[in-house]
Amino acid sequence: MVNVETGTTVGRVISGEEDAVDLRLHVAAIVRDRRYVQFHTHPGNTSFSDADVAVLLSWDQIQAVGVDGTWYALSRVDGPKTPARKAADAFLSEFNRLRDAHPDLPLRELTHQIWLTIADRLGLRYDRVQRSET
Amino acid sequence: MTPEERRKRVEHVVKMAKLGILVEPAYDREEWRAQEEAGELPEVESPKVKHGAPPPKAARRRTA
Repeated sequence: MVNVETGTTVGRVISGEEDAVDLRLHVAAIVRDRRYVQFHTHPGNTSFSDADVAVLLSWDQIQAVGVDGTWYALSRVDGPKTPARKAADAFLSEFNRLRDAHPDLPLRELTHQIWLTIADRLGLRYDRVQRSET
Repeated sequence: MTPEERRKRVEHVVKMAKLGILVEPAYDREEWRAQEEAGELPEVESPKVKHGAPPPKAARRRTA
């Protein structure tokens, strides 16, 4: 986790499990009214999940994910904060809809399309940056 | 996913998020395995492993 204002790393790198990361050491280091970027990996290169947005909206951190040269960034924009529950449900709703409509769409693209569709209405900014093959 | 499964999943991820624990869905892990079997994953450099790629278990671990 990095302090946005100072660029300094906060806490140590946390090694998690296959399906979970315990972020409590980082959460405990959060100082009110300061902004942070929380980085974590997605081994399957998919975009943000329902759990990611729930963490973002619970702790007011910007989250980013970088794996295999693809970076995803999700952050709050100014305005009323969307409840984590509503955002997680919006993700799952769109996930189910897209999966039914495009069963062959790779999960990397499916999850990317979800955020392109729902980020604005949840008051979030979403970006994906892919490594160029040069 | 049924509406009830969806409701339970939302409750679970929000509850864990408020505790500071990020619980990722299983599909990312499944995607990782599919890419590994297809040989699509690049070699991962690890500071703990001097030669070659890290063992699969280590590569699958999430970091934050």
